[in-house]
Amino acid sequence: MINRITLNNFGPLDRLDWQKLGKINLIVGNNSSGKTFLLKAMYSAMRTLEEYKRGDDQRKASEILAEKLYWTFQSEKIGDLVSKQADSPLLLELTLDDKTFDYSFGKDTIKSISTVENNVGSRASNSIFLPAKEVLSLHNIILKSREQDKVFGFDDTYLDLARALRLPTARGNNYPEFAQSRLQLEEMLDGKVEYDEISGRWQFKKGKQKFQIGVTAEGIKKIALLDTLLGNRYLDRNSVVFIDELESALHPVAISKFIDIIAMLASRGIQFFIASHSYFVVKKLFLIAQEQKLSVPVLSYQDNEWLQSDLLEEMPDNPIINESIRLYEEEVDLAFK
Amino acid sequence: MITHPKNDFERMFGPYPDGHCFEIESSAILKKINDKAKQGEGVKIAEFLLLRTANGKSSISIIEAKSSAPKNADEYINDVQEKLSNSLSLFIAIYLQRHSKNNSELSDFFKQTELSNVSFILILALQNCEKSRLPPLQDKLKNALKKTARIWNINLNSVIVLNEAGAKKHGLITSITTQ
Repeated sequence: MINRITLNNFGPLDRLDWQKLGKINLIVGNNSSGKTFLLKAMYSAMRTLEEYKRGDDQRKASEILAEKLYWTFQSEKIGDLVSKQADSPLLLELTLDDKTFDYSFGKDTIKSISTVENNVGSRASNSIFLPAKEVLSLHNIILKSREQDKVFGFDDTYLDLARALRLPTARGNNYPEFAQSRLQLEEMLDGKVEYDEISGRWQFKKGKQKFQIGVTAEGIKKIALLDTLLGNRYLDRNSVVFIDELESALHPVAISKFIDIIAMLASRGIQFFIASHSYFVVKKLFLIAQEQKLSVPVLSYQDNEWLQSDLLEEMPDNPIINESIRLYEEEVDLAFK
Repeated sequence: MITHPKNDFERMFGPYPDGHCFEIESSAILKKINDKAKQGEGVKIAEFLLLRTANGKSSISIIEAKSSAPKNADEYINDVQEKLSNSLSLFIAIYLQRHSKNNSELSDFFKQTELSNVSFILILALQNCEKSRLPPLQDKLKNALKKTARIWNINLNSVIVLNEAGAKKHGLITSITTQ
């Protein structure tokens, strides 16, 4: 489990030291505050550790990292990731199960990172990044664009997910909570999303009817992603799941149910980092924190700085939360006009 | 302040201009109605009605005041809904002289108000309630009062929940006296 993340001069994130992380962690902030950037920074570090020494891979951690950063952030040289106004190098330090992985590089770095210290070693589990945009109907396009054409467009978060989805569903008993979560996900879906080997496309099966994934609701595709990754065992109890804009394409009831499933998976070991600008997401996680007496660390962007709090103690003081109060006040003022 | 407060919070309301506040909860008509009822089966009613005029437009606020926010919101909101709906019905029944011909309990200001175009505002005022808890309670109360609002053609925007600060801001509490 990731215990702590420190970033200096990493794109829009000048200085950040997020400590005492929990099984479920929330990042709230408005558009362009750097939420996705942070998730991707953490994800690329995790994937570096996970690809390091896997199977017969002989690449050094620094080589994997450079590739991961290049294809995740897709800038011409990775030195472009260093904050524009910074006069010191970019630094990332991630503490995983109390061991550190850190690296740093300056603005002139093209693709070779010399300062990488890996005390974590290699890692057998997989992390995954669920992007805000849907992936299933673009599955083949993503794979072709990246594996055959090798062009920018779909970054590594999309490619890794597309590859993970390609794994067939595993047979045999899954972890009980995973099996239970899949049942709940499938209940939400009211059907099944499956890969059709013959047509090479994903389809949604409801009773005897089959629908092409392109005409299936966005929310269904999102829920199906998690269901598939649990079913094919890409995720295990030590996985870390990064979810960007959890609320996208989900209505409030589905958001609540989806988060209930996340809480169940978190209790079994999976760690979640969720970026959101939805009041419903924050409120639902707040209720889970209160009910289960669970620490849910929150990183909240306000007035150009990142503030840390915990949903176990309070709702964060954040424009997203304050907006519901502002709307309430507007409504009351209207009544007395 | 209102003349028959039951607690410190109710004591805070007002003062209002003479004849503009009708304390329906302590009215003789309500007493007469409830005297006939068995214990616990009387008509539940809100605290008072307040007649105000702003920008040439009259409004009647019906106010239910509570000193704290609920633990069980559903039960509580149903209770508040019943009180506000009953108060509206009873006030209109009194206004229409259904109970006595001279409406002696209503001031001339109320009697002379043309009810067909007055705005009704249904208010739950909570003394001790954080602002962040007000929006969901207001939504719940709006939902509970939906039918009443439809029957009387009251805009649902006129169903509101305020805390003490909101009651002060909107002129329901004008003094700081708590004696």
